[in-house]
Amino acid sequence: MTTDVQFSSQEIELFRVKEFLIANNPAKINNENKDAVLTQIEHDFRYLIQYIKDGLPNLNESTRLIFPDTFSICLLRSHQIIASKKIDSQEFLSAVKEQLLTEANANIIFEYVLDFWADGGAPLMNALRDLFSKLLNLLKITYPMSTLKDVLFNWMNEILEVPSTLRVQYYLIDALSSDFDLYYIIEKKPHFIDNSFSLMNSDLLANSVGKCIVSLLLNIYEKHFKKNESFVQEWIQLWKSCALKYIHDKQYTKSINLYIMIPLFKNMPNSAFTLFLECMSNKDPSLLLSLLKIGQELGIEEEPFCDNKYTTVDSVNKLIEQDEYKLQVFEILTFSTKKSKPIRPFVFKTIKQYLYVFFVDTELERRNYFCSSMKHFIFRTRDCAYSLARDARKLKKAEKFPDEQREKLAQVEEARAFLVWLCNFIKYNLAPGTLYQANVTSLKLMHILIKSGVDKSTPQKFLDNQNKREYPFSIPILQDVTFLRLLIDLLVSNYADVRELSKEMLFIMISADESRGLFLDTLDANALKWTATSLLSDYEKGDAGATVYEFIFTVMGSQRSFIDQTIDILAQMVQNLQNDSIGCAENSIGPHFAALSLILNKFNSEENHQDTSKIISKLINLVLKSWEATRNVVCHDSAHGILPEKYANCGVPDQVIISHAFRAIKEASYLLETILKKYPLTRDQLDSIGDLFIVQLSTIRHSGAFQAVLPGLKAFCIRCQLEFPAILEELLSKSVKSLKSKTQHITRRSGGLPFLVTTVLSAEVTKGRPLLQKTFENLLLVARLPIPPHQDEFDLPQVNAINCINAIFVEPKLSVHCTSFVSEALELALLNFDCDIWALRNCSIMLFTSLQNRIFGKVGRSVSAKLFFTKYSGLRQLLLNILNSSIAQYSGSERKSYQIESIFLVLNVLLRLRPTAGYTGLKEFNVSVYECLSNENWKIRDMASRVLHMLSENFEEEIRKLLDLASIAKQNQLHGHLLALQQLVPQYLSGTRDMELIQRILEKKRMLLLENKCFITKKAYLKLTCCILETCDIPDSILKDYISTLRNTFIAENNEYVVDGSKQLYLAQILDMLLKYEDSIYLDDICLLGLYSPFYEAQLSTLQYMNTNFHWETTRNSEFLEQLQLLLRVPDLLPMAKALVVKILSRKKNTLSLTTCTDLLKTNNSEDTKLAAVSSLSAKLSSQTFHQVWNLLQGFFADSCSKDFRLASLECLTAYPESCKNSRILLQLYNFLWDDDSEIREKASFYLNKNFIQTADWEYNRNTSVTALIFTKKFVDVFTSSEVVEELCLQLFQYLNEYDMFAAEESAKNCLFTIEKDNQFINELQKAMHILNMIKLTGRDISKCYKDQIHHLKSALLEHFNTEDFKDSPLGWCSNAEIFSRITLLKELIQHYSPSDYENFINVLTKHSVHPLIISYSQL
Amino acid sequence: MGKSSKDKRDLYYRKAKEQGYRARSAFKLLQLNDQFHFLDDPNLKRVVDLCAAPGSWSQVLSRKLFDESPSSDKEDRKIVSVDLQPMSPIPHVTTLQADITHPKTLARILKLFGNEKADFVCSDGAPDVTGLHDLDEYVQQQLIMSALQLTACILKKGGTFVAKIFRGRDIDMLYSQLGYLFDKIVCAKPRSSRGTSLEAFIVCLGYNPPSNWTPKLDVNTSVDEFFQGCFLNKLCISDKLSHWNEEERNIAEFMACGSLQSFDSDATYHDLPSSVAGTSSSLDPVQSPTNPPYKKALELKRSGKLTRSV
Repeated sequence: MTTDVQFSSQEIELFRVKEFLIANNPAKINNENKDAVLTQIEHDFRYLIQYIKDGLPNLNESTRLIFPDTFSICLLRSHQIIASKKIDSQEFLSAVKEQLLTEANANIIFEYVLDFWADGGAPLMNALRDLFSKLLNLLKITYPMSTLKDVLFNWMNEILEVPSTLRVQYYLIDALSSDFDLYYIIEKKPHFIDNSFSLMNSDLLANSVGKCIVSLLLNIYEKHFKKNESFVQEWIQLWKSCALKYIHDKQYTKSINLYIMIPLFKNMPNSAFTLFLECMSNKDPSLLLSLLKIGQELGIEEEPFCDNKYTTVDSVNKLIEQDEYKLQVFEILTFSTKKSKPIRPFVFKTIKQYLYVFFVDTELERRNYFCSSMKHFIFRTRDCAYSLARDARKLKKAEKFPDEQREKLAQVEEARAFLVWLCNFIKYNLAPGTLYQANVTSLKLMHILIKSGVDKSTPQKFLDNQNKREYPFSIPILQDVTFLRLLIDLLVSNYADVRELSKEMLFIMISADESRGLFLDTLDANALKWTATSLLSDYEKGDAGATVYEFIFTVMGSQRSFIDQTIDILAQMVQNLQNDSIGCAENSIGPHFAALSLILNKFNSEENHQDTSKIISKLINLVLKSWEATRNVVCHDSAHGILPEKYANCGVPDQVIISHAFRAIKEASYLLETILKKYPLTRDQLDSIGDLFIVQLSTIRHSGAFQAVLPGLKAFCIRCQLEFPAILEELLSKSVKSLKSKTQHITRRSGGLPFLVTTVLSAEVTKGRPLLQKTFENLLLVARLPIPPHQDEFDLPQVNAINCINAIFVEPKLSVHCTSFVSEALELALLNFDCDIWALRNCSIMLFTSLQNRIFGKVGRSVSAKLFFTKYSGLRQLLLNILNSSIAQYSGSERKSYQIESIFLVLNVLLRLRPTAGYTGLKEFNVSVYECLSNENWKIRDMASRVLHMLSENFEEEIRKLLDLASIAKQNQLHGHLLALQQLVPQYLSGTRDMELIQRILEKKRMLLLENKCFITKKAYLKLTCCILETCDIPDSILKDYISTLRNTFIAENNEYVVDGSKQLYLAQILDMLLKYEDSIYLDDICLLGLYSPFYEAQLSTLQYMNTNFHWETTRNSEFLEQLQLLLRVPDLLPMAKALVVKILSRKKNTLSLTTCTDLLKTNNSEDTKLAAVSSLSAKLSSQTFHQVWNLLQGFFADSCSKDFRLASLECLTAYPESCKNSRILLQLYNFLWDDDSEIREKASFYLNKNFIQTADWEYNRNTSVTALIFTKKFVDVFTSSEVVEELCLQLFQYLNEYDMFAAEESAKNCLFTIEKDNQFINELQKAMHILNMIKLTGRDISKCYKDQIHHLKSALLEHFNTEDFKDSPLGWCSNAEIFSRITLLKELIQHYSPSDYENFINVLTKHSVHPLIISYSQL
Repeated sequence: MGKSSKDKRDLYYRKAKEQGYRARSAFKLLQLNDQFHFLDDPNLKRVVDLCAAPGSWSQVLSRKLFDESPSSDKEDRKIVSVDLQPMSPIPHVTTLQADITHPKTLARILKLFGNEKADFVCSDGAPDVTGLHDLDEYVQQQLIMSALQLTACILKKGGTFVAKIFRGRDIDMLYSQLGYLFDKIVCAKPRSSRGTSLEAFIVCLGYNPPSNWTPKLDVNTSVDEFFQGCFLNKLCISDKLSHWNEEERNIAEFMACGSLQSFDSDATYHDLPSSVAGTSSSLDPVQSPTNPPYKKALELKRSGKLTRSV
């Protein structure tokens, strides 16, 4: 193959026509050249029409767009010439009318558009659409109206016959909508609208179908109903039911709203929207909300929630409680097209009441959506306050309307109060121990508030420039000591995004002049530095340590000395590692590099220009030294272990040594990235960095490590491209040379080499990508080098080259530039499948996969065979040759098993091709595919059966052929044919009821079931007949006859036990069919036979059937019971069978005793069996057995248990009818509202809402946090007894005491991972506050019983303060979530149950600078 | 743990890190064991982990057989892990950097086991996954066959074999292949195996090779040749259901690639065996019976006349 494009004579002529037409626009036509130009245009017009008539010869993938483009220009020019007043075009017009654009020719162009639209991609469709619109324009000025209408009418009729799933229909109707009254479409095709709506769930069609429906409906209103508003109701009736039918379905809602409702109502009178809403009989909240939103956005309904117009305020509150509706409600509640429109008080009130439901959202998408809505609302609040204050000011100045002035100022104050409340709310959601989702939402909102300018001290550069407007007040966020503390504490959050957001906010705070004093007063730089250093030495918290380092660097004055000190510390560490690689294997080199990288990003190099070059030079040296000290760990290659021998039994685990080395390399590379992006470097420095990258990527053996090097390399390449492009070329030639000569054992994917090549090539900016072209050619040369015999090395140059080619196709930046190499690469891949060397076959397969993904896109997508083979010319023959020669070789005497791979890959391509009507290029493959059906490899038979299905154009003919050739004498062939029949028969029979064929297949039972000895083909036949029985209604006599054969066969064969997996599967299949189709009076017998069967698959099938269909209502109960109980005792019964036995038994009362359940749970049973036992416990719950069952269940409530057990125990509790009367069960259900798993929380919430809180059925799905809050009130309404209070206190004090606040923190050695709590959803402080609230609401005084405990806790705390001379600080003791929440809770307890001590306690906390949020904490 | 964890990676990734396993796949073996308890057998002594690198399954084996085992007698327990890639050492595990298809490897393992056979063999190996499911399944099956060859030579009768498979549209072939050598074959997907992947595990319980078949590893022997002769004619069916059961049958050869051609001969199969030939005419199963035979079969079953005899 060649990359030089050879054009056909037709293509060359098309190019010429196009160029001529472009060059000769009407402005350039004058009297002198007119005749020549017009004659030429006429000639070209004729040529183009004739070209279509000739069947568009010689147009391939790259040139097929030329034709419609050229023809479009031709039609445009014709139109322009005729319309031009300058040119005398009378003669030309008559030529167009009578010769060029005759009705017949217009039809030919129309047919061409229609035909080619169906199979083209987006570019061709655009070209055709353009052509069609140009054609219409030309027709309009050449044809008389009556002729035009006839032509268009005929076209319209033809368009309506096009399959509804093709977009062309909708585009053309849309295009014709301005010329016709389209009402006749509805008359001609009454289901057109309904059918079109039904397609709105398809991403591919929604846009075009939507446009078409909108054009159609607007056309009918305009042209049929003559824009008469009194017909709007009638107009709505045309489509309302279709819209409502589909819009309820979530798959349709969004696209129907976006593509139909919005454009439709936008172009209709407002009454259409109101009438539509009024005639909706079913007020589904989601639908109503989405329509109200449309009305609001279009300015039809500004405040739909006001004055109970569409819904009551109470309903709005109930809707906002539900996750499904909350975002829609919030948006409608807060949105206004006019930003300065005053905000109604109920809006603020509702938001304050329900804002928390948006802070517990674990869904990122919903959180972002909320933040965006809230941002609009904050800006609206500001704009509205601004205009109110301005108006008040004006009125005051004019000394008018004092009441109005007061009212406006009160509204401003209301807005201010809301924002102050919001700031406080944010603080609570940043407290230690709050959830990630609350933190991240709060930080984003805080950022929005600051950007909106709510704090007047915010430096100008941080304000949102696009939406500038001043608040009439200022809220001092940036000087808030609590915010400062919370943000610094969050610098060490486990979550990188939380750390980044807090850091960003702190930098804004530092930049505000008014906040400087706050920093000086609050921060102890030394203490912070100490904390940061200790964090840096912790492997897992190193990133947090680096962030704190960066923060300290930013706040402190002497930045230069700070950098020097950090570099010195790092240099010492690297030196230590070089001297003592084992003793210093666990080091913080990586985190120190990370810290320096962050610091250098912040360092103002322009102000410190002279210092900079020294720093950079030192750092590059350190990176190189650090690489030298770690390279032996990451590049070690030996058969004797993963690490060099000196590390053997050294006392430090391998994983620790490797992880620290990786970390050092990764962070050093990030540092280089920072340097490369920001600092000046000499050519020598760039060279040494480039060499380092080459060495690293060609020697590191671990993908994690070389991938960490890539960001640095990327920055390097971009830098070189700008300053010294020659370096890149050198780098590439070194890389290609290195892949030729490498003998070092890397990996089968060539390690970092492909990444090196693709990263360098991605940086290329020169047009035409000469480097890419050159490298590709070089790689192809290497890949095609002759392969030495008998070598099975990974590091063959050919393997490396193919891996690099593969990487180029995978890299999105490069793949578009190497389209011309697709055929060559595919050929390369296909030819290497039959190579003796496994490594080469492996990389070829990987290359083939990448190419296939590039050619066909997503798995499952198919392409028209004609299109495919036209696009990749030559490939058809290549595939055919490979398939035929592989089949010949595989079947030959010296067969190579890996020929299978070649056959596989060709079949794989064929599987993605669709036959095209009239295209015969696939026929030749049929013979080979039939041969593959008889192949001795099962997988090939299987694939061939599917390919045959894809290739078949006449199913009936194919089915009969396959049946005729099936014989038990050739089992492989029989198997292949049966597999193919399984594919073809159901599809054929779904369209026709061919009883003759069905009978013919069923009559094969004698040969294929009775005479056949092979269970695999017997089972394949059963499966085929099963498909038939499922697809068709079979006359009873035929069915009975067939089932009787199955029955006899089963009874006979079920008893002959052999070790044979295929017989097991066969019997299970036959049993499934009997259980489905046998007369119901025999089902008990069959089940019993299944249970007695010596074949476990048959037994399992029976149990599965019984689990869903058996109801213990048979007269044979005792036999079933006996047999199932017997099975339960069989020691080696399959675990899944045992679980099913337990499930079936538990459905019959008193069959599974509590003792049996206990045994099942306590002995060594599978998880499924135990889960079945837990579920069955609900039937055992009674007042007598409560304690015993409760004790059993308690083990499964814990967060440490797997989700399935927690779920099973929850289901057990909810299945017990008396649950709502039992306070312990209810409290446990309340605990499940805080479970880590959303499904468990939602199930518990649903149950409590339905059965305990007893709300309306559409509120069962309210947010679990809302349910938890409502539960606390309802619970104390129902239960106030002392036992219940005692239980609550027990939980509360257990929480207080379970953590030792004063114990020293342990630091684990060799720890590479911090253990997270099992429950990441629970906010422990909030839950404890709920419980405390419940205790308070009961009105019972617990101080008598618990005073001592409270006192004891308080004394211990005070003693700790005194003895340690304690002073809390940012990142200090109270920043620990466990301590923060317990001191806060203690403070609350003292306030309520020991009020006399409260003031003193607060004073002590203040004296020791305890976390300011603890002191101000109160429940919102 | 839910969606709020700091690591966007899944629960098992974190659990593996927390518990010191080298890969999350450790939980797959642990969960398979929770179902089938093959590692809880106190008599489990010799264990082989094939395609073991980076070693998470070996870690599980080491902890189960040594650290967590209540048994005091652990001296004769041995775990051998084999992979082409080097592996970091694991306590109580002997690692061999070797090719599982090579007879030398077999000899080395047997030597380590003091020429005793293994009780348990497992393999979590997989090829480079292409995403072309048919191809991936095929290459994986080749890998399993290689592991099975070694297993056939080294596993004791009644032993267990566990291997990773790609569960595609039709796993019947693998099931049928392994079904000739083991009493029970179960395909299981542990919860820790991602739902989106085709990965599943085949648990083969009760190794039961034909008694007259001696597997022999040889580098020059193909998989097909290796399993040739793996006839299952040791199985004798002594009980027959009243009519039309045939005599002891010729049983299929092991299907190395799923070939069914061992059933090729017309002559053998067309005629019923002589002992039942006389009755065959009265037993046309296509004919609708007047009284379904379930009751009779059940009665026979209950009275113990239909029993399994192996």
